Amino acid sequence: MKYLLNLTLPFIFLISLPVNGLSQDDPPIEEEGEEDVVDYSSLVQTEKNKAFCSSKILAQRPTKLASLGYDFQAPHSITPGELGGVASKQHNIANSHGVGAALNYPVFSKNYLLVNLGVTYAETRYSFVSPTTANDNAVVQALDNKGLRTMGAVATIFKPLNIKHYLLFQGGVSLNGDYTFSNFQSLNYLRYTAALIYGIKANDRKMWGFGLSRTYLGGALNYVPIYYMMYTAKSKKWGLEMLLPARLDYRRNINDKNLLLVGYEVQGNTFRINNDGDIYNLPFNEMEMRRAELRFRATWEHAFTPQIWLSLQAGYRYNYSFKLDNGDFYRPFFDNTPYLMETELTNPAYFNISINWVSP
Amino acid sequence: MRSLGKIAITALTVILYSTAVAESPAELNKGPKPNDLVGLWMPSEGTSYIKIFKEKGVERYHGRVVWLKEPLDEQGNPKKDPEGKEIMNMLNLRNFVFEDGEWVDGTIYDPKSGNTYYCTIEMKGNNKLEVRGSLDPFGLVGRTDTWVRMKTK
Repeated sequence: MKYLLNLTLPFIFLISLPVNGLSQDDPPIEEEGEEDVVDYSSLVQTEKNKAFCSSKILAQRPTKLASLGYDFQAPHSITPGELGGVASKQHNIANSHGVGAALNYPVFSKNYLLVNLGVTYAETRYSFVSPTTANDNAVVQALDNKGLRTMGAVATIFKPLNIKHYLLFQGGVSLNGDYTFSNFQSLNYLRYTAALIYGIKANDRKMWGFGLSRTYLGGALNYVPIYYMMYTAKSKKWGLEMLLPARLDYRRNINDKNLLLVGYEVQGNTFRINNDGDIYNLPFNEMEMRRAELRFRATWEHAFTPQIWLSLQAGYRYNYSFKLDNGDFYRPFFDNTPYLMETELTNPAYFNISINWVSP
Repeated sequence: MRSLGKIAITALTVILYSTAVAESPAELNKGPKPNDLVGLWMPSEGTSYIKIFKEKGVERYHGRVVWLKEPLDEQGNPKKDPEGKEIMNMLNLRNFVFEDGEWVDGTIYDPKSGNTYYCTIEMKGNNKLEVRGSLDPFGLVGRTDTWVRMKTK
């Protein structure tokens, strides 16, 4: 990862700097030929050109094209329930931490269609105060020895229908589990997510929409209605950015280089706990850790240059789900299918830092 | 079978040769000329006209905002960019040079956001432009907008 950072950041700075150095001061430029007097109100188009709405609003948080970050959760504890004859027991975690990276590339970007393709990676490593042994709970052993990883690909399509209306689609595939790079997880365990939004762009400061998502944000597979809104006040001093129920932020635009955001985000997924070869001596081989957490946080975003932004985030991580299922299946709200194991996880403070190449 | 192959190759050669000979020099020189860019253009949003002109004595092209659908803000003052400069008559395209049928090496300024991007311009037909603003000088990460030429009634 350090190698990746060394390789990418100088490149990003190299290509970013010339544009950042440009200003829009207007030294007079003399036109060739006589200047015609034109009545602009009487002009007509030589060809039709349909107008489409854009995917952004004024003063919104910049879109991240490349991101490299580090996440740290303060001391907390985990108390897994009984599993395979191993009794419930509390384990103290000194911290959990890990790097995350994301790339988001606009492969097709015209006024009538935007297509972005991206890849993501995130890991969570757990540092237990007392190292676990083969007699401990299987999940706790997996967390201690291997941690959790997720990597995936995502496609985002923004299709403006006209100057006011648009469709927004996002489809993703991810591989989540306690795998390592040397002991990779089978692609049979890929998980698929999707969301479709129909929206209205009211003006340059407000766009909203509603739709439906197939999501693992609550831990298990679910289908959830979603509401999307981006808003900037007339003063351009503040705004709201939300994709409910997944996240909501109040944005304070301090100036061009500094944003302060306060809000929450739900982060969740299902993670396969590998028991191939019966390493945990359990009668299940399809264990899925349904992890979901609410993060109440404040975020400071600072522009080093118009395209290079630092993001510092601190907050409180509230555990919503850290439960084990036998296999992956649709689990709607209020579903009472018993879990294989329920787990108590205490709630620590956390911080996150990332450096981002953004589209301003 | 071998003779069939020979016939096919000969036929293909004749077709390619005759196609090349049939094209007159004028047809070979199709494609935009440097000054084709000069004129009045409307970006796809339809809220402004940009006048693109050639700089006197230099093979360089620039563009200026000459018309706004809504020239005044909500307080009745001329619309301004985030730096407080008036958008009307602002030079928002700068320093394009004509190279290999395109106008390159220029920049485009977005007065709404206050950001400047690298920019290349390609002509599609006589009356449409594909204007690509990008974050990088190679045009890899950017967005393309279609502009149409405006004319008097």
